[in-house]
Amino acid sequence: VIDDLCFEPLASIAARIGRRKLSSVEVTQAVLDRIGQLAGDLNCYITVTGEAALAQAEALDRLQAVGTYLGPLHGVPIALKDNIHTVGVRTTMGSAIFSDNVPASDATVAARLRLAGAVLIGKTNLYEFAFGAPHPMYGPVRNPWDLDRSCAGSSNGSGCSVAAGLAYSALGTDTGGSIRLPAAYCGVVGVKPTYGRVSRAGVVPVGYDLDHVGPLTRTIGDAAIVLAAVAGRDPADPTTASAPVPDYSAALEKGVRGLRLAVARSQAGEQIDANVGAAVEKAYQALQAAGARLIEVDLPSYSHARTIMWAVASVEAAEWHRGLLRSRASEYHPSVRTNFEVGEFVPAVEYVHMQRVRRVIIDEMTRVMRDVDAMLLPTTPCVAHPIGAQTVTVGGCEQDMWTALTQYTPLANLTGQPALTLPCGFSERGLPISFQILGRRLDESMVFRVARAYEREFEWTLRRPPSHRTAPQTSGPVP
Amino acid sequence: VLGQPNPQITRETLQGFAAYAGIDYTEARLDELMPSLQSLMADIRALWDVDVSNAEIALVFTAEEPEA
Repeated sequence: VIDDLCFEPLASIAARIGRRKLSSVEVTQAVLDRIGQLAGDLNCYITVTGEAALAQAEALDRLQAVGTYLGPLHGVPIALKDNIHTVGVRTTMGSAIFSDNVPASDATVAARLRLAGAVLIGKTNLYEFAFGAPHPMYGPVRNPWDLDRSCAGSSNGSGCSVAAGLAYSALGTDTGGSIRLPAAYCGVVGVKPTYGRVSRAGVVPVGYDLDHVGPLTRTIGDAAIVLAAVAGRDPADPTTASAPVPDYSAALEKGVRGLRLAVARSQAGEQIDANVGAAVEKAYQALQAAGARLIEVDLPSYSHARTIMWAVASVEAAEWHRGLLRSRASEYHPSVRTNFEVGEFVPAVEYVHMQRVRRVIIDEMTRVMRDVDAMLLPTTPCVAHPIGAQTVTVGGCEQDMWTALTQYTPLANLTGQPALTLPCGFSERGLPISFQILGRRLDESMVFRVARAYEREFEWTLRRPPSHRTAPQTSGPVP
Repeated sequence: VLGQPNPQITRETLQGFAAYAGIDYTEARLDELMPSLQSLMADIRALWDVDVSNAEIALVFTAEEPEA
């Protein structure tokens, strides 16, 4: 029963708390109990707030008892990636250097979740400084669908905790796919909003013009609720958009009939596993069957996105890490240190050239998006790889793992447009397969609408990881 | 395309860059960094062929009124 409670959609839990059929303390205790059982094996939390979470839940229950209800996150346990500053709760950034770092203030997103009534249940594991590999002090996060498999990165603890029923939602950050990749590997929903839609203030940067903060959840409706709580203009982040935040939940059930969805099939240099490609293609066909019109598009500059993302992120991160790399370099994971150090040696003229090629890509995507409502892409070219693997085999070819994994996701980081990943099937090994929906800038509502239309037909998001399942498995139709 | 020779990154050039940046690498660290830097720069140089003649830099400042 406790496990069923932990896997209930956030919206449903929130509604029950709102009607006072369930208390925040009951929900928080259930999640803490489940964390106590599973988080050790999965290694998805760096810090579990425990008593502080229960105290927060008690306070929220008391508040509700006197008639103050803060909205659809009131009393709901949510986790934050550990590069998001939380006042009084240590924020390690996945780094040994910051293992005892306790911020004096909240990141804007953390503060907004508190104001919305969310209970901070813990800080999730991540790649060191959200860039490349887990530090040995914290270790790898294990995939709840197969404990020997990776959760990708860098918001791997966020993806894992949500998939395993150890949080109703978790915030992650995404510089080149770091929300969407773990969401895809873990079979949950991940949203990288429009650049500027969600404040980055108080979030440790990787690439200033590539970083995004967004929610990971088990359902589309839950993602809409959490994004609405954290989105909007923030004076502390001058890059945030002043555009009003719409009611994302309002458009969810409008369906896709009559919508035009761009499909960029087989772009230059693309390789994808046959089973992943087939599941993604079936998802496209399902949306067509639901009334959308699929429009083939070509993206000639698409193949450059990955190079630009990695190089620009390395250069920008190198500046933030410059002092630490000269004083405490030995405390970094070697490959993470390398990712940052190479950024010091990229000539400025190359950086400017990359930002001009990026403009070519943005213009190309703007032209495409002018004629469509959204775009469909795979999320990853393969299912979750074994922990520690440096290479993966995709389409019969062995590739560097990160080269393969960042095939489809950096595009939306360069263009700043919103991108959502959601599951569209499972491999023969029972590992999740996902696809992406990209929208026009600031049009997350359309992305949610298309995603919900698919989710309604195929309830992949209701599946539970096998090793942690206690209730009968839901059996959605095979697309 | 730009009339440039294909530049090579050697241990000496990296060592020179590092000295300029105020970093003193060990020989072992230079060996670790070289493949990653060479790979990254090779990828970056592949972008030289992209026609950017009509492309503004992606990082631009918009002329908005400051928030009151």
